[in-house]
Amino acid sequence: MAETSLSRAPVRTVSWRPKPSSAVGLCLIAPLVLLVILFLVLPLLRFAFLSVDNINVAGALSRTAQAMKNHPAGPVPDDAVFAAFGQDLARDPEGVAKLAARLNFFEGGMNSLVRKTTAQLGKIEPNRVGFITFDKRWGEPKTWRAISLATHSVIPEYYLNALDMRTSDPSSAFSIEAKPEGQRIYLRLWSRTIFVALFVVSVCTLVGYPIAYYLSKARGAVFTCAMGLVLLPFWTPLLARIASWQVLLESNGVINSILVGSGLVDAASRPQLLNNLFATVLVMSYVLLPYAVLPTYAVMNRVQPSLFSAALTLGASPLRAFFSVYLPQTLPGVLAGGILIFVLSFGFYLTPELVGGPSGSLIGNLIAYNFSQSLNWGLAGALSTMLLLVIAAAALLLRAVRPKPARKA
Amino acid sequence: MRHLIKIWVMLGLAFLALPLLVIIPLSFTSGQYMVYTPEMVALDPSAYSTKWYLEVIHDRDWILALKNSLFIGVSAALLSTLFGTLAALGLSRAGTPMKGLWTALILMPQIVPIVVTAGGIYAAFSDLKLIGTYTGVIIAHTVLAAPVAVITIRASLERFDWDLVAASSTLGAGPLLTFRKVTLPLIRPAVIAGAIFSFATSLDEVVVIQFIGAYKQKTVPIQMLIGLREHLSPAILAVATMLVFFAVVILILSEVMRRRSDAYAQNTRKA
Repeated sequence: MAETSLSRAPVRTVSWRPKPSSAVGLCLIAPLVLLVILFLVLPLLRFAFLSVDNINVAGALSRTAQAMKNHPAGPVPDDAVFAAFGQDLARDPEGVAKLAARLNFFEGGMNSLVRKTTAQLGKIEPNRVGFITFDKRWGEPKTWRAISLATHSVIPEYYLNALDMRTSDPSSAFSIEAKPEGQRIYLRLWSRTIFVALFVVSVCTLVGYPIAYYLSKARGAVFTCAMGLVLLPFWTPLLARIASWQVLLESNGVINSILVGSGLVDAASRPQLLNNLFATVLVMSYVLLPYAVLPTYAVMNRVQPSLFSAALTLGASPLRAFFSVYLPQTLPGVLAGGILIFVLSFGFYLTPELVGGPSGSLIGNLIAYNFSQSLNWGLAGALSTMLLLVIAAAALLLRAVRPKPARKA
Repeated sequence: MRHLIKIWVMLGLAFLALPLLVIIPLSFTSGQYMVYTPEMVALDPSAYSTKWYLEVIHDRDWILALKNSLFIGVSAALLSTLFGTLAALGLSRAGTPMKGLWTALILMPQIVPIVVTAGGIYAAFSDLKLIGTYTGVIIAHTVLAAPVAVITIRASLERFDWDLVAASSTLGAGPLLTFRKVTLPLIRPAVIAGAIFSFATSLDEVVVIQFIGAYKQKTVPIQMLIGLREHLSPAILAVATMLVFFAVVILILSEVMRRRSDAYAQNTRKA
């Protein structure tokens, strides 16, 4: 040993290190960073843009917008605006198709109304009475609330919708009202998502902390076995884990069979374990538990055991020694795991989709619904952007408490 | 107290392991449904069979899914390991500016919720005409798997002795030769582990493929998803069991690579 360190010392002192150039490092990082910017950052920015963008639709309504400005009127405009609106409908068929779809997001039924009106435009007198005679909805204030909203190039409407609110009077800025009772969905989903995330964090911490402690004390084969049990679900593909929970929780599933077979539960009154909030929370806790165990274990491994015994020697009860010595030392690991689980569970989609049913779905499911089924990309973009903001805030918090990387002595 | 904690820990470990263990015997059922029949509980041999495994390996859909998973997974693993190794080297070098920013960017695919990523990628790919193509799926999986490769390889570079690189260049080797003869052999276990983890990430990915892939690109998890939604047949459990064994293999391989990596670190320190 002494020899090697002797022979090494002079090498250290004369070792010639070229001044590291920053260009080489940047060139090495560039391909991956470009890939991420191109296929993740830019798409996300575009999503954020879509959530406020209304330029094309506003363009299709340019004459209507001009007329509205020149002839301000009550909730239902006068003849000049109707005439301009008629011209806009006739002017640009492609723009009108977009307009009709967009208006439908602001007010249900507008898509068919606009399409029907455009198709029959030749038969309609281009004034207020003519339009209202054709369809009485043209005389309703809510129709014109939607159209007036669509004349702006930048709209906050999707963000308001994502919070169950809407613009009450599009002509004045910041006039916001809550949506009618029956149309509120999102606030309930946001609060459910926060509740589920916090609940899963607590379950994982309560179950994970003792497991991490056990791992940090175990040695040899016991350690290998226990660590294997934690890592096995971690590396098993998510769908295999979800499939096994479906087998367990089904109404004819393993758990219900055991309950009925042991006579605890009557065969007719088996509890509903799948497709509800309970299943979402249970399976999410299962999926995220390793994320609570591993960071806590990493921190516990570096804790000086002598401090705990010192506290005991000095007369502290084991409980007191735990709360005032051991827990504060391991808290960074618990916090890191907890915040990570909060961040991950906030964006969960697949698990609630497959085991949660309607009562167990989360905000991630509504993003997918608005994106791929209702094709309301603006609302999906607004929900995504808000979700990302929450997650970014939590990730910054995570950076602040992250335990320093382990160093081997 | 001590005993109570121990019982709590055992319950926690059982909670982690049991769901996976429950499906393994059930995948060998000879029945049509995913339930333990009384005969199975009584360990009657006729209640068990390998018929669902045979069904899976003879089914056209599952074979297509398996081929796709292998092709997409291996391609994405190779690409993300290539980009990931370069990036990890760049992030570990002294003198690279703004490391925090680059690290945050590279790790972003791990933090952004997958459903948001999927939406963003769909929107981008529909402009680039990459929806329903293998190229598109492989690019997406490369982006998603690269952080795993970077984390694994960077961890081994933290213990790397840069004096060896300096020595090699003092002796006249160019950067490529140094990489091939000095750096790569030392970090090889971590690179291999990174590639394995990247492959596992791609194999586990369903949401993005569901958004941007077509029927032609359906992978094993997509085929499972179809099965879970439509008809619950024990064939899914046979596949799930195979995936659990795949996880065991990954666990063992990663442990082997970690030990080798440690051994290299020890050797270089002694040398």
